[in-house]
Amino acid sequence: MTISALWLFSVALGASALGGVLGMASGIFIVPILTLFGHLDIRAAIGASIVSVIACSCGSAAPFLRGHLTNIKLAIVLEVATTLGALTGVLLAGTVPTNFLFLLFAAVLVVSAIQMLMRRKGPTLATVQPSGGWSDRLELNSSYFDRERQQVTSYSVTRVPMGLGLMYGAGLISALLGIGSGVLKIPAMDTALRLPIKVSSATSNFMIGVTAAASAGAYFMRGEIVPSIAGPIVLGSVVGSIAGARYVIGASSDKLRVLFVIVLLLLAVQMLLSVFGIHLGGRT
Amino acid sequence: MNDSRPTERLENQLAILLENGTWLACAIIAAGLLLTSMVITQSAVGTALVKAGIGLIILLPMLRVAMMLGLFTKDRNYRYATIAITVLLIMAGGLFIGLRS
Repeated sequence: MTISALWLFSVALGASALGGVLGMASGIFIVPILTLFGHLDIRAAIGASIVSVIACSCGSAAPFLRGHLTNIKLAIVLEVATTLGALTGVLLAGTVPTNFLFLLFAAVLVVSAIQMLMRRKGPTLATVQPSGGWSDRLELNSSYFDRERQQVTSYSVTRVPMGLGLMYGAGLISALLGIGSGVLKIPAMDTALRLPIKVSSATSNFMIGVTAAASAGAYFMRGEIVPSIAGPIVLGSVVGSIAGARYVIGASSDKLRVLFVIVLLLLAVQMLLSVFGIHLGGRT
Repeated sequence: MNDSRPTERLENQLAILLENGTWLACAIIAAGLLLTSMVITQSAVGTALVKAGIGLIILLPMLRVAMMLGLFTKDRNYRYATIAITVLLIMAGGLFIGLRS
């Protein structure tokens, strides 16, 4: 089946813009939409999505870097774990049955819905706590200028080994499903490393480009990334993420948040039904 | 705390690389897609351009790590230079796995 470039561009633009409004990566919407409604093979959808994840990460990194919100030292340390996880994902991808991918995706969608419902508050610690160990040796503790408070906020990085473990898992899921893997990055950043939410968002966005490139490089070399699908998806995602970032909503937009939770859960149900060959969208 | 001056310089250089690299790759992909949609031109050229743009996007994070490696080495921060080399080697491992399979 041939899908027009315009349709792919529009889907990616819509998913990326809406995802951006709620601070979510678009991959989590793109793969289910392409497979459930575009009837694309899940591996082709994952290949296209993983490239769009890189493009969105690279395209949106500059303002965070210039604002000194990205902790680049912490990013490169954690990237050792995420890229290793991605490499494991690449090795597993060829052997994992398609049904397992649908099942795993459904689980990720459900967890994402729960995370969205609970909202991220981030750690309450705003001052430097004694961290010791890895943080001191690797000079990971840092500071940033908080525009809302109009003051420099120092922070310390805690439980680095636990963060590395969760990041390995994030890299693995990213490679298997072609997504940014916020599902594991959020607990890694908030619970293990206890980063301020702005630093956490900037640093995880910065890292995902490298993580996704580790698996995308392998898929590209294998010829699993189809230019006619990935091209329009990448363009749509980049344009959509720019548009979405302009309208990032505050925590008060509860109705939109609930709507997205419902959409995520519906996609999860349909992905789960696909495992059993049931397609509510009328797929033959 | 981070030593602010080398870090600030690195942040600015990384921002320039990632911003310009993304726009260049997107422009190449857009040009390729336009060419493939035109009946009179050969779509193979357009497809090759789209593929090149996608390749550039995948290469961009690798260039970013390479740039970090260069600046860490220049600042004699050998611990971080080693970490950057490790990440680059893992990423190269991905390319190698892709080539072999």
